[in-house]
Amino acid sequence: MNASVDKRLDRKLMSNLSFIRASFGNSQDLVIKEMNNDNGLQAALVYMDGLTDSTVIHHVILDYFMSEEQTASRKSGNRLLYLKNAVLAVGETVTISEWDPLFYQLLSGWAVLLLADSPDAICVAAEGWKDRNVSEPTSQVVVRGPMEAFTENIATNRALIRRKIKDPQLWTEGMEIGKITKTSVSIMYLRNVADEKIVEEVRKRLGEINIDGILESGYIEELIQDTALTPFATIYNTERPDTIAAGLLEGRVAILVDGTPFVLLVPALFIQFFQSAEDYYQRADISTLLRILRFIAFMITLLAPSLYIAITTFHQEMLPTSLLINLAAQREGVPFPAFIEALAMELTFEILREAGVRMPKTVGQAVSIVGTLVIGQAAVDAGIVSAAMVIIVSITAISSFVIPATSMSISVRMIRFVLMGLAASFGLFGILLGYILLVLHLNSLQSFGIPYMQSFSPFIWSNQKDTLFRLPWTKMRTRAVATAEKNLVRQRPRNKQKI
Amino acid sequence: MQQGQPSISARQLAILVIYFIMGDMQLFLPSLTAEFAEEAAWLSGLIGLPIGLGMAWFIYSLSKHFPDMTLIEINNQAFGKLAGSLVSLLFLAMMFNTSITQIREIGDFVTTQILIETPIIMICLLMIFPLAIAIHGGIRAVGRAGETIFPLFVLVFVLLLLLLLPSLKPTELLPIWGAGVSGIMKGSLFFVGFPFCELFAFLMIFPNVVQSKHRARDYMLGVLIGGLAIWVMVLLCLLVLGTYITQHSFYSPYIMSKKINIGNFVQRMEAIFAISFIITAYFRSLIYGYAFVLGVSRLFKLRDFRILTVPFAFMALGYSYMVTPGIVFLNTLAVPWVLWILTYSPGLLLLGWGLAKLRGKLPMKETAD
Repeated sequence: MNASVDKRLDRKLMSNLSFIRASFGNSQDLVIKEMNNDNGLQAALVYMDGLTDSTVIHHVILDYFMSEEQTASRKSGNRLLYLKNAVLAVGETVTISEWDPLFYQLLSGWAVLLLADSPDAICVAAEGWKDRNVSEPTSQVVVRGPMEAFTENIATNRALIRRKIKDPQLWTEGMEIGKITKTSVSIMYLRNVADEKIVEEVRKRLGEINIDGILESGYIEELIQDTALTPFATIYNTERPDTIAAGLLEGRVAILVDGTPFVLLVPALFIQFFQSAEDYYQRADISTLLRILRFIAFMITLLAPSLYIAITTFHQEMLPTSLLINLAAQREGVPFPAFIEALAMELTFEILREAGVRMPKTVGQAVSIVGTLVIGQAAVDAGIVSAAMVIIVSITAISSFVIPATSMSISVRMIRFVLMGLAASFGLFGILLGYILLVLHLNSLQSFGIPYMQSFSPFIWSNQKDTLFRLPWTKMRTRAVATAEKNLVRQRPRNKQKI
Repeated sequence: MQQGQPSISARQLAILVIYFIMGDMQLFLPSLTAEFAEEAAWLSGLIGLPIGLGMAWFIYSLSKHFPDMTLIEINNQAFGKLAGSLVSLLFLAMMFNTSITQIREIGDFVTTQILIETPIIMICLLMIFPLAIAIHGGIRAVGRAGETIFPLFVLVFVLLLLLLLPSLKPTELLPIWGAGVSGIMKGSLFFVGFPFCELFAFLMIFPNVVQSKHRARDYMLGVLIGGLAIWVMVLLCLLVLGTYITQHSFYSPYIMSKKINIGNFVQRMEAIFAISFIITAYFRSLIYGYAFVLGVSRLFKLRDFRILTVPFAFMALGYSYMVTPGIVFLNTLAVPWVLWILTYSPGLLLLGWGLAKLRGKLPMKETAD
């Protein structure tokens, strides 16, 4: 402990080593390998067990001893330089003379070589830990398209994007966020397409973060979003490299966070949450129909239970007589008003869905059997809910899975309950009111200065080619006006050749 | 107005104009015009439409004579500081009154036709809530909300028209002349007065519309579409219900939408009409309410109109409750009301324009557009 409290390294090797030991509290995974030889050349290799690649470590030691003859003859300063430049040809090496960056490198998986009589240390890149392989995406599945997803390793993720966009204009900026975790975060953007104002805004908001730890991109998302007072996500997240690459080509900015396969994309627009990567790989007519289908599904998720409540409670005359009699007969034995019935069933379903996500895989079957019975046949047979209500809840549930982005389907699930309450109190008038309030709210949102509802309001005609519709690629000659500021042209008109 | 002010696009302006013209008129205009013109109510509409377009153009050109000025500043410029402020107060009173009347009309409509046991104050409260939120968001929020809701509105309105097609009875239009020329002219007075003359509220909004070469065209297109829509409403009411029922029911288009019956399956679609009516009446109220709040802040030189939204909401709630004892009384006011409007617009507007011209205070000659 007699090592100086100074920020810089000491000249004495022993005091340096004891300072490291003391700083780490003799942690088990801290390995200090002292190396001496007859010539009196002393050195120590310090690294973290498990974070480093053992072949690199052995290489360093081996190289060191192989070079001992030559190094012994040199003075200490030169010795270090000689070691760094000529001997340790392992890859990246850095000379560090202060404790803070040294600890950071050490904990990032670098090996540190300390020499006696030297105030500098050589850090050797030796990271090597067990990583998950690049595997198939689990949350955003496509039938046709790339089958690779991001991993927890930020370097791998950057490489996955680079492999898709081989252009030096794809710029990457790195930073460390989190006072304790020191998580590395990268922002990526196409320099010649992205709006510099948005990039600057991203930089500014990331720079303003002052938190002890970042464990997932969700932290960053909440810390840099425009407003927290909304059920809607104003930042898009995805685990698909192709979606990020497409976003970068549209002029968006990607934010990669170490330790999570979910990469953020800003600015995010409302309609983006209804678009799947596959839309661009399938034929245009199919994609357009699928997008419209998703929008219908969105409306069903949002409105089906509340419309059912409103019509059966207040506006029975809207139903054809035969259907009305049918419904009334079904509801005859049901002891609850439609609202309570719907609320109970929707809650049951939400519980089942949450259980399905959280439960261990081994008990999955048991829960799904109980779930099917509870939500289905048994509840109807017991006369607690009507069969029509089960149909409504089921179609609502299935529709909510159609929305490609989880963040959007969660928002819709929440808003649905508000609309159900309004429908139960004021019928269709209540639903209309809720709709107007929803529209007002959506229009008040912004994502990094871009209106959330852009393309619809303010309506931009040229953006309609890729909003609710997806025109053939031959027609999509320009980028969306929303995000890209410059370099709008995506493809030149092709030479019309007579065939 | 200074640079950097929040602004709306010409398209949003056109959409707001359509909402504004249709407003509560798609509910009341058929019975008002049919009361005087009888079978020829559709002819009053046909005569009223070009006059209304001219009126709308007058109001627009007024804003071009006084560029970047709201109605309050126009009044100050034309009448002088003191008299101008008094005239502005008159206009503001009318804006407030009409804005809240829309809310009250929605309340009356909902409590008599849809939710019969609900107290009217609750419905008014529920309508004032989104009203205040939208006004607080400023003109940009109003414009964007209008644009976002527009597809739904068009869908509902067109669906209503299409579903009514099988119920049309062309013989209901006979005899063509109805109540004669004087009746037709009286009927067209309503057709011009309520929807088109009231467009003066947009004098508070024009300075916030982005300058573009489509501005005048989009505005007039909005006026034309809105005018045609209410004319179609009058025509359909006559064709479906006949003159007698159209005259003698307050909510004739609503009764008309009850007549929808396609294959004994699609029937009783009056909710569709209710949605369309509530949307347009809400926006009419919103535009008037925004014009009022902005006008007050301009008149008293307040830095930000947003501080007025909460007081406005409370006043609106109280006023909506006491403005009329009921829809029957409101309907008896139709004739004095339309004359009241005509004294303001074109009356006071023309006076102001003339005075400004005489005093040489017109800031700018009308430029070719």
